Amino acid sequence: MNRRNFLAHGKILLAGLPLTYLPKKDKSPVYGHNNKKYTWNKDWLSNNKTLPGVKDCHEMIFTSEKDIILLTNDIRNNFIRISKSGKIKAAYGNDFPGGHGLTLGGTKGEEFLIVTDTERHQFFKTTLAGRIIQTWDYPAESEKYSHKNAFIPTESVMTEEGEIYIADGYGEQYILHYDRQGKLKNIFGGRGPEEKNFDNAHGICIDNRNASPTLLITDRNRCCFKRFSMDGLYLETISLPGANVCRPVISGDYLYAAVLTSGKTSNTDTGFVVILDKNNQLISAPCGSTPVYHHGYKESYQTIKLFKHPHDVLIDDEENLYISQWNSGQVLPYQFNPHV
Amino acid sequence: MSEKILTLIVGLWSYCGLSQNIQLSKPRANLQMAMVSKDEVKLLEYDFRMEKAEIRYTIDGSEPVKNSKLYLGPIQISQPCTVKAKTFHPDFEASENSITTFILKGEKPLILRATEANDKYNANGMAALIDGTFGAMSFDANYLGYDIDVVEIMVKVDSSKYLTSFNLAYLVNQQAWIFGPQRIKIFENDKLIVEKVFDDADQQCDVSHKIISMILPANKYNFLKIMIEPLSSMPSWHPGKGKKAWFFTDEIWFY
Repeated sequence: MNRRNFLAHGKILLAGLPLTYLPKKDKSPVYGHNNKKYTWNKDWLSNNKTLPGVKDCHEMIFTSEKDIILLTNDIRNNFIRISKSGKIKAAYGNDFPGGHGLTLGGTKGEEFLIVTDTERHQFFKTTLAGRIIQTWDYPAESEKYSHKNAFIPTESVMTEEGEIYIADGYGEQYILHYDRQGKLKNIFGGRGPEEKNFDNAHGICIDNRNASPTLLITDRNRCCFKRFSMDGLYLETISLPGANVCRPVISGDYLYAAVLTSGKTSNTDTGFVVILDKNNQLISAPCGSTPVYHHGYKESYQTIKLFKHPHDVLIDDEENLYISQWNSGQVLPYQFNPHV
Repeated sequence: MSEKILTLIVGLWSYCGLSQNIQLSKPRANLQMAMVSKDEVKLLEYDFRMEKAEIRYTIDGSEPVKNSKLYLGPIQISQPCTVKAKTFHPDFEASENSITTFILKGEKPLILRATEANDKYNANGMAALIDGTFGAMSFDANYLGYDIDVVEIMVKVDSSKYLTSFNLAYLVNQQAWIFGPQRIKIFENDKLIVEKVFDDADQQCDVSHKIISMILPANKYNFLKIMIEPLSSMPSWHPGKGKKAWFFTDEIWFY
């Protein structure tokens, strides 16, 4: 070996020395249980040169163009549009300091958003670009609200016929039902100890998995979902002890929800995710305890500290999950891929 | 060629440096603090439902490691000790400690009279102070909470026994405006027997469940009055600076 080669090889050897001190490369852990397991795609957003700053990430929807639109309460960019591959396509919107609930309405090509704002005490119909088309104030006509600050809407859902339900999850706990013309048609729920009442009606969705559609509404402080008829009659409670669930999201046969905290909302940094099957059985809890059923579900709790406070979960057309978080170090959503 | 190898090595090094393991949550314990003696054995139980996860623990206060005792079921404790437990799993970083403190069962006084606690935090009355059951890290169960200038507790102790210390357990959760006391005085028949000032009551500290132990002149006592002063002015670094702090206590006892 001549001197030049020796030096060249020597450099490589020296450079390779640190390899002996390498931390063990972590395997890709698998999160969840039964047939709903996932791996975390840590690098989902890493190809973006810069990332938009956010305060809290609240809710997400999936457009017909297969993008994610995220709603934040950051008026630098209330809306962030992200492709499935993790490219930040746009960050825009400055009108919603309390941007909280986000639902998609309309049909392909004519889609719009329903946004609730907990600081403006209003809800809105906007374009996908965030331009306000219609505004609703607090429902004074219901005679349940004496002033606007009592109305702190957290979520909405829209029927195919264009009727809107609003969950007043941080206010008086009513569910408000508006007709196609945007007029208040019915009001139910409210604060109280009965089954038909709520203690943080944080989210709402329509369940079309059975013969007739019904509403599923979160009762977050009591760790359950409550099923109501579309006319507002209480039907049943789906109890998930230990899981302070945010809004219910249905995709295919399954019901998904971000769980803000374990047991009480004062238990900071203890969030996880729950997935229930069509029979309301808890079958998977990514970052949460193994579901166990024995005369009722054993209390669920966080087992892996990947999340702090998950706030919403979105499922795309390939069964990837996206989880947005509130008060979690201003992080953007995480993507999880199905693990088979 | 050597350049390519170098790049590969540096790339691998960078990649591995960026990988980070996620930490597990602590195992859930049924007890955070309890009194024990050879006649009063307590069972410490842990819960952590995760496949392939293990709970490892120590009873000498040392840090649990991968080959510490494996938790297989309820642990009988009859002697004072500090039990620390962590969860372990091959794919994740070990959790922080779940800590349970076992203290020697003491002499329980009879409470004749006590300042009424705040309505929302009265743990069903002053009997909570001598029921032998401690609260945990959450102020909403088993604690008497006071938002007041002075807390007075009149007790009768066993006058046939020599007592050497007064002990009190309390909660600190400064974010919730709950601090330790600034002063405790103990009187017998209006005569001050012992007084302790807690200079560090306004120092920053994490949420914790603490015990104050005050030495008494070894003597036989009968009726005692315990005067506890909650922190009268929260420190300048606190959002509630200048206001009086809350005081939460769950148990008093003597040795």
